[in-house]
Amino acid sequence: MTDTPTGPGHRRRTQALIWTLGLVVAGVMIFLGLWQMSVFRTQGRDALTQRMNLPPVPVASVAGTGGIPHDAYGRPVSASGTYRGPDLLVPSATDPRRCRVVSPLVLGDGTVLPVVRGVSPTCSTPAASGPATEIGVFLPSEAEPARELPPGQLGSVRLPRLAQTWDGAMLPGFVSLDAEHARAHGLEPAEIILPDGAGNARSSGYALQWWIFAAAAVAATVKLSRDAATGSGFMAPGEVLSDRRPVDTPVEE
Amino acid sequence: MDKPGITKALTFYRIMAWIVGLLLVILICIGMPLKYLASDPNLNALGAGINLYLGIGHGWLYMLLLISAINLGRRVQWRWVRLLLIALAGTVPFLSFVAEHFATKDVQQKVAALPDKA
Repeated sequence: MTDTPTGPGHRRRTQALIWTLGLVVAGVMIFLGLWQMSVFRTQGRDALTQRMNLPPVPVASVAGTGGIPHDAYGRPVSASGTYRGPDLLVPSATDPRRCRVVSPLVLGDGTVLPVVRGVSPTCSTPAASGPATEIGVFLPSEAEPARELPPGQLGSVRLPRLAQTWDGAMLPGFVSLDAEHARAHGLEPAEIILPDGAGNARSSGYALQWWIFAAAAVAATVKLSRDAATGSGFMAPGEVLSDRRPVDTPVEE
Repeated sequence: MDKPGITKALTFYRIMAWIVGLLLVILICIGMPLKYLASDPNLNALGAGINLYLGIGHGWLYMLLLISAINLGRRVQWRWVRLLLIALAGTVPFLSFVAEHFATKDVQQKVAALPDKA
């Protein structure tokens, strides 16, 4: 059997090549999607963890009342002031049976900085009072809790709710004390839940695009393989000038 | 061959090639330098925003560009090599404009060679 450029042997080899390349390309795209999904997530969390280990700066240098904080959230800050009750108890982010103790620290200029002093396993702790210098991570207001709680109870560190309880202008964030300062209050350090939303949505979006491209690569492989079998369509031997075909002949079957 | 169909497919492809080309130029020539090279943090943030939204948008529109090129290619009997070149050109700044120029020229020549239907 002679094997001409249009013979069956040549076509089978072309089809085999198309399938090999198509599956390799699709495989690479699936892998890139998975990689995008995992690496972006890991990198985002690593960057946040690294940020939480920066040296503390005075809270007044990064956040003030009536303005959007600049480069403040997620980094350690220090604050000096006087504790003025009442404390509030908010369920721990990881274990709702335990309580985070939130206290208002009144700074030198009279503004109020909410401070999560730590976690109390028994949900009872001596009230904080008197002057203190604290260090912890500055965080934005938490979301409303998923379920409604009885009046007087808070489900999350939601700043507008705190502002209704405490007098004075409040900073646009709260501080969650580090381990050393939480233990100084006789409390366990509160666990900080790293934000986990936009970064993942973005990497999921990119990953989805890779997987759609992978599906398109498989579809293209099927199409090109079929065209190669018949020597037509995208695998025709040469671009056929349209005036050489009958006018009403469809291009594809 | 369907002359009006080819003309419509060509218009769709040209629009997509220009949109995707412009987005890529903005992304690479404006968004990236602002994000990584500008000294002002506000400009860095602006660059990051451009990259985030245009980057994702470019990905989805690039898919539409490929669909428009395949749609046109089926009608004018392009070979796979030309489609591959168009796909690759869509990932390099300014090259999608070049690809669009040559593709349009080729299609217009083919359309001109078609006999008019009585």
